[in-house]
Amino acid sequence: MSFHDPHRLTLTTEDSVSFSVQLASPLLRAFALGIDIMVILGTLSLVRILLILFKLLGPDAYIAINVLVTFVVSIGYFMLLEWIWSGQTIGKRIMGIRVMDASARRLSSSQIVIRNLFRSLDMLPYFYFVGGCVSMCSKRFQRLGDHVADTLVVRTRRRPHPEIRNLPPMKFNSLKKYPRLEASLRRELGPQEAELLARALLRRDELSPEARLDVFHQLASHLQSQFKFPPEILATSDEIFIRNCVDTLYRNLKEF
Amino acid sequence: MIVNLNNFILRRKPLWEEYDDMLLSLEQDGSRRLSLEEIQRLQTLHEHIAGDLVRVRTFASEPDTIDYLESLLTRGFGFIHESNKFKFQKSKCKQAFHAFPRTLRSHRHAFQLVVITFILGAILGGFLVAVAPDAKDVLLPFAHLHGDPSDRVAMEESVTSGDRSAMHATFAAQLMTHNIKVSIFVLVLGIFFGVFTLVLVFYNGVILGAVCVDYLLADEGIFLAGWLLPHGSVEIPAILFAATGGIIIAQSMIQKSGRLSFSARMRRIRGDLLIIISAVALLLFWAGIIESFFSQFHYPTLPYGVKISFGVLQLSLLILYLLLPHKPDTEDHT
Repeated sequence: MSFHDPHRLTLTTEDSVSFSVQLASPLLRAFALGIDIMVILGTLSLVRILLILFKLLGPDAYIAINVLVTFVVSIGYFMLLEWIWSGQTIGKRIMGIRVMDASARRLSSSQIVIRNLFRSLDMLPYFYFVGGCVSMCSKRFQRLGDHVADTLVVRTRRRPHPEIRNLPPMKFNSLKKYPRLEASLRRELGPQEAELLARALLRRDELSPEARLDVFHQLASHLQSQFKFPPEILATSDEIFIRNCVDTLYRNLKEF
Repeated sequence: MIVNLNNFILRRKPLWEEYDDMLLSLEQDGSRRLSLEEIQRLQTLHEHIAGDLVRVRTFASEPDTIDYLESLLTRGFGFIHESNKFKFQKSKCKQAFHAFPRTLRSHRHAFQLVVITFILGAILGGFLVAVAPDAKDVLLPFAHLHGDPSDRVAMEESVTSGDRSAMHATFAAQLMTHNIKVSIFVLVLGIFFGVFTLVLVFYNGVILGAVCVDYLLADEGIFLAGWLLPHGSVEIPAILFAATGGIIIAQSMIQKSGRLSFSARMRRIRGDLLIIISAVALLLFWAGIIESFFSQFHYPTLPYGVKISFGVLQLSLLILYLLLPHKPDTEDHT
């Protein structure tokens, strides 16, 4: 495991395939917790209505069952749902986050129980002050219970299927003559930068001629400041230069 | 040329969707067990998607596809690499019966430390009350214990069983939940290197020692045994077991066994903590019932001989359960 971005955790499978997981921020977790507390309170109100039947057995049985149910629901809600829904509660589902083992394996029952027992400490003195402080000081946003149970809370919102891009195919690309440079571009340019270049090409017709020139000039200057291009490549216009670079970045998948 | 990425997405989409659907069904029903064929298919799809991610990363830099594939792998990784999932089985229940004494024995030094701390607290509490009887007003947090023990005995024995039975189910529920909360707290306080766990155990020892000496000096030993033994013989050990869990956490934090990281050391004790807290919850559930339905009834409703015998028998059974040889663990700890 390693860190590139403080909010992302990179995991590596045994086949050496690495993938990154976005950690859930303390704020997101607080929202999820708020929803869970509301669900618990709602459940208890509902259960208390149903328990009115026990009043027929006498006030003693009614109060005793109330005390037990309140205790079981408030302690058991998180444990039961995290166990049934593989690390999610209602609040976590809504916020698109999940508890998982720190090495990305499935949660074990002991992890679920221990991280939830430590809530009693994390919630001290009020409103999860201890847990909040500890998670904000932690690199992986772990509260005390997460540290002991070796768990993480990550964002697992389902992503939409990737779009099919309709960029025009290119017949000629002068960068093809420089395979090392192409490899270097693919390796060193981040996905966000590549996305920016592709989007600039896709939306170029929406820009005024002056803005179009300016945008592609800025993008080309940025790339030229990062990589050393041969003069032949730079002899073209900025827009053609960016199209060549985008083609280099998005090409070649059919060979596999 | 960019159309190649589109072709790639179109070609691989059915596999990605199949994997997504399998994950969705697993996420929605955590208890679902996959057949062998389904497991093999899930593994195959997982490998395909990992391979696709490598391809997209190496030969293109398309963030949407990378994000999508990474989110699929994140969701699927936990199902492919499942750790020990808890299943309700008869054999597991049998193992659980043997597991607690075995766990306690494997951490006997932690348990001994807790017991010694408790006894030292009891000796100090008893000594302070013996030397300065007025100290009990400071030592004992419960107002009903501040007065003369003989007065309390006289009052308790004058109460009829009808008066007592009014709210004993509520009392039992409150006792159970309170004691379980205290036990959880004693256990989790172990994270502060066990200091607060030991302080709490010591303080509980002081209270018990003070109460015992106070009643013994007032010549009310029989009442004391009849009042405390039936539930105390289970409740006090349960809190000591929970404190042992706290000391186990503290030990793992302090002792660096080899090159194991903090997480690895915690992973080694997690199973033991689960066994201890489960046993403690069961014992306290029982203690709550006994305390409200049995301990609070005194002579003449219940003869002290019956109550003391019950408490002694219960304590003997608990000790016997802990000392008897138990089957070794047949399962690997994961």
